[in-house]
Amino acid sequence: MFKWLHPYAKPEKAYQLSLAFQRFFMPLAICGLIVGCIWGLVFAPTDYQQSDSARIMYIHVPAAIWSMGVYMSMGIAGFCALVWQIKLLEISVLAMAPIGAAFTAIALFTGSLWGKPMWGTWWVWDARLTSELILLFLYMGVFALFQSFDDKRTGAKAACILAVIGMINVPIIHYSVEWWNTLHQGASITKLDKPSIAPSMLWPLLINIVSVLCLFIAFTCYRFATELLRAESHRKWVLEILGK
Amino acid sequence: MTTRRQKRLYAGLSLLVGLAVTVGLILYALSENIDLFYTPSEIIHGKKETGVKPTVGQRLRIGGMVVEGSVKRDPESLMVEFELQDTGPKVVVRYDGILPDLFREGQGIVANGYLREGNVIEAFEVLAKHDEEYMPPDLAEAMKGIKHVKPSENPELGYQ
Amino acid sequence: MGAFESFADFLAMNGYAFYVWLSYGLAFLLIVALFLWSKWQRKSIEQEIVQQQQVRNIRQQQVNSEMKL
Repeated sequence: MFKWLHPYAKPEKAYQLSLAFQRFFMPLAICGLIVGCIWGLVFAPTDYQQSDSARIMYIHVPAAIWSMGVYMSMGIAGFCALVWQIKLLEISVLAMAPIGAAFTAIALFTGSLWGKPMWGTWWVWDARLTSELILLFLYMGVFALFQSFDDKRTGAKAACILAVIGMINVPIIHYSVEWWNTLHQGASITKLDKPSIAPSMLWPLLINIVSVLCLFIAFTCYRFATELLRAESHRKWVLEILGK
Repeated sequence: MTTRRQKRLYAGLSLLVGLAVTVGLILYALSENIDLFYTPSEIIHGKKETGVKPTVGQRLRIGGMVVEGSVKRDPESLMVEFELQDTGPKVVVRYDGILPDLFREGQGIVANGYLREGNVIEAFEVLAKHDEEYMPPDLAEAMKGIKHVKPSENPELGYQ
Repeated sequence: MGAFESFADFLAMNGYAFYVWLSYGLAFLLIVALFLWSKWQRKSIEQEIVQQQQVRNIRQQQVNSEMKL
C-alpha cells in the first residue's frame, strides 16, 4: 500500500523533494501574506466593538491556529518515528519545533497587544492563555532535548516522546474557552456552526490562515533539508550534492 | 568541561523544573478561575453546587453584565460605580482606575476585588470580556442596533 | 484609501496605532529572524561538510604521495 512512498524514504530523494516543496510554497506564502495583510489592514472594514484594534486578528488568529497545527503534525511525526523507527521523521520533528515556537510566540504577544486596549490587561492567567504559554514551553523542551544528549539518537527519542505526550495540550487549548470560565472569547471560525465573523473580514483572515500554512510547509522543508545534511554529513550523496 | 553525565543531569533537571512550573501554572490558573469566581447571584445566594457564600473582606473575581443606566462617575476622579447582574440579583462594583475600551453598559466584564458590606465589591481591576462576533459597524447597527463608543469618548460616562 | 479616509488615518488606526503596528512589526521580525537563523544554520553546516571533505582529500593526497616514495 505504501510502496509508492519507498523511494522518498531514501534520504537523497527526501532531500530533493523537500527543497522542491520549499521552492514551491515559499513564494506562495509570501504573496499570500502580502495580500492578506494589506487586505486586512487597509480594505477590511473596522469592527463595530473593537474598532481598528481588531486588525490584529489577521495575524493573531493564523499564528494561534498553526501554533496548534504545527504541534499536532510534530506530535504525529514523533509518534510514527518512535513506532516505526524512522530517522527521517525524527529529523522532521527537530525541523518543526522552532517554527511552532515562533508561531506560538507571535500568537502570545499579538494577543497581549490586543488584550491591553480591549480587555484592559496585558495578561491574565486564564485557561486559554496559560495553556498556550505551556505550548511554548513544550516546543522549547522538544528542541532542547534534541541538543542535550551526546548521542543524537537518544536525544531524538527523548524529544519525540515529549512531542507525543505534549499533544494532550492541544485539545486543552482548543476547548479551554468552553471548559473553563475564561476571559478569552469562544472560537469564531474553528467551530461547526457558521463563522461569527462578517464575510468582508473573513476573507483576508482565511487568506492569511492558508498563507501561514504555506509558510510552515516551506520553513519545515528548508529546515528539514538542513538537518538531513547534518545527520548524513559523511554520506556520499551529501558530498555529491555539495559538489566538492 | 561538561561531561556526558552532567549534560544529561541538566537536561533531566530542566525538564523537571519545566514540568513543575507548568503544573504550578495550571493549578494557579484553575484556582483563580474556579475557587474565586462568582457571579452576582452566587454572591447573594451562594455557589450553585456547594452553597458556599463569600465572606466580607474576601478576595474574589466576579463576572457579569453591566446593568444599563447604572454607571455613575465621580466628576473629580476616576472613581466609577456600576451595577453588575447575570440572571438574578444585582451587586454594586466600585472601581478607581481606567476602564478598558470595551467597557460600556450591557457589556460582559470580569472584575477582581474584595467583597465589602452590603454586596459591594471594591475592585482593583476591571476587565472587559467580548464575544466572538466580528462585523463592520454599519452591519452591527442594522442587525443589533448597537453603536459602540469608547468610554473615553462617551459623555454619559463623565469623561472630558 | 480602503476603510480609511486618509493615509494619516490609516497610520493612526483610530488610536490603536501602537498596538496594531507593534504586533505586525514584531510578528514580521520574528519570522524574518527564524528565516535568517535557518539560513545561517544551513550555511554553517555546508561549510563544515566541505571543510571535512577538504581535510580528508589532503590526507588522502599525503597518503598517496607517501606511497609513491
